[in-house]
Amino acid sequence: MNKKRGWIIAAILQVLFLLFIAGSYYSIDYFGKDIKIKTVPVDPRDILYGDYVTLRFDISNVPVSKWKGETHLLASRQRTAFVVLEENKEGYYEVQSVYPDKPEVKDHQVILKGQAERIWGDTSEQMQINYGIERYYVEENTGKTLEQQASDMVVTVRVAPWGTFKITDIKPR
Amino acid sequence: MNQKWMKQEGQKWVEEKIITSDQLDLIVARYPDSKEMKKSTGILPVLASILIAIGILSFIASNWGDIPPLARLGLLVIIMISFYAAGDKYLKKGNETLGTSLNLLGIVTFGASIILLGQTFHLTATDARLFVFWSLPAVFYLFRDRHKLYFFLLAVLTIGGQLYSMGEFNNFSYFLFVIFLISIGGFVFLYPRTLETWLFTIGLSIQAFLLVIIEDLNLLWFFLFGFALYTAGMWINKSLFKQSFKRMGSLIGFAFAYGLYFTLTNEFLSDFEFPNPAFYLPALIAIFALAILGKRKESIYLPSWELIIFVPYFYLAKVADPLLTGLLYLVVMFAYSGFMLAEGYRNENRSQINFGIVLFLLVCLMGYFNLAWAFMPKSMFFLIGGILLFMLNGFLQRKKKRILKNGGPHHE
Repeated sequence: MNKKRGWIIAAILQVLFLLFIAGSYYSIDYFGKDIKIKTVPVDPRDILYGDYVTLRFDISNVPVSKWKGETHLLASRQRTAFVVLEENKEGYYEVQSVYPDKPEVKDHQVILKGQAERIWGDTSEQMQINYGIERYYVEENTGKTLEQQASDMVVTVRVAPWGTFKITDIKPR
Repeated sequence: MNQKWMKQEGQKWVEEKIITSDQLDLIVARYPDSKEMKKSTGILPVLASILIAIGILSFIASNWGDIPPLARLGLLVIIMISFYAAGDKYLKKGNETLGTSLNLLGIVTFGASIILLGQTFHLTATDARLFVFWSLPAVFYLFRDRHKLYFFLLAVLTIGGQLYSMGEFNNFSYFLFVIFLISIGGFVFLYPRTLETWLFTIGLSIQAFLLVIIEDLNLLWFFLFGFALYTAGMWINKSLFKQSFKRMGSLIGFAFAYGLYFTLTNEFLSDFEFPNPAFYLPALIAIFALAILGKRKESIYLPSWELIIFVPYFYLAKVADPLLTGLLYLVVMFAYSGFMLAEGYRNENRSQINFGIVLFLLVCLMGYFNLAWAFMPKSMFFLIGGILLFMLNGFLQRKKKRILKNGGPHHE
């Protein structure tokens, strides 16, 4: 009878997986390092979508000149990119360079992993980077106040040593 | 048959000395309770459990915002575990349908939990990983219980996840595809059944099509896939696979014939693109060789006309007029559906006759559309077209009835 205990093991594995999701989130709090990032105005059409606020950061758009890989790697589709950030004089973090593979960095630098894509607009020499924190979930119907300020805020992002990161705080500047 | 009823009736026969009670037991044992009896009573608890689950979920959803994150996690875990535990309990009792549906709800809860927790903890998906994890428990239960409900759930999860992956991230999840092959493919390979085999074939074709679209390959690669599927149907020794692979492959081939006919006969689409010949041609030749070999291997089952739909006439467009090539496709489709009809009549095979009639009418309609559309007022066109179709259908159906009236074998 293999039907006896198999389901328990399977269920435990699933619970562990769910705990892992929660744990990975909470462990950033303990081991992470805070960095501050500025937001920039968003296209007003896609700001609020139900229960989250859409954010854009000044590290979301980067000149292609900071790309440290071969140019053809930045084709028309998204690709993984490692963004190296450094603190400026005002205490905000800015993009120093973008790599296709994980680079070695100095102690004062921070790496964020994102999805880079070259954009062809009026400024063709730009790439857009998605960090996966562009949607900030808020409680239903509380996004309106945030929405009005979303273009000019300070976002605190906590980065864990193993590379995951999350938004811990959003404040008007 | 209902055993209870038989026992009651049989008791009277025993009392009337028609049969002995030993004989009655033997008779009753010969007719086990039919599945219909179990099915109709088994569906109510399933519906009830679904309703209860929806009730619980909507109650939680309406108060979701007020629940702190860790309590949410605990709540989801409790709901999931209780579904699994209840499912296991009923399975042990022997109530297969109810137990399975409860387990199914457990799996659904697991997926919903991943999504909800991802939202709570601000995780954003970068690929279809969610569906990969979601389908793992379903794979476990499928191979443990071999119940078809898990099979259908997995089909939905893998194919749906692939569609989601395309829509959201525009990439093809090879992980999901592997899970599809292992679970859906492995299951139908071990326990072939008609419906499941068809699901596998259709799912495989959908994913092949998505791969061609997402990777931006030339569409003719999908034609090659259809041909390969058909050829695989010849070489596989399981009759169920044979049927579904060949039918699906032929369907894809026929769809391409139609699409190419349409593309090539319209002038504005004159710049017709071919796939990279360095890869495409060797593959095409190899599959063709396999098809010819397979054809010789099983010449009894396979009429050679089925292959005419797979001949790559589109290469003629390089040397000849595209319009002529397109018209050649129309001729080929006519020939194909005509052959199919003729064969159906010869074998007195009802389903093949029906299929042939539908195809033949479709081709007639297409040719008629293209030819008559330009020089006929539209209302007249529809009127005459409808009448023509009715007449043709009536003629074919009458012929079919005459053939089948002689009580030929019906391989439905």
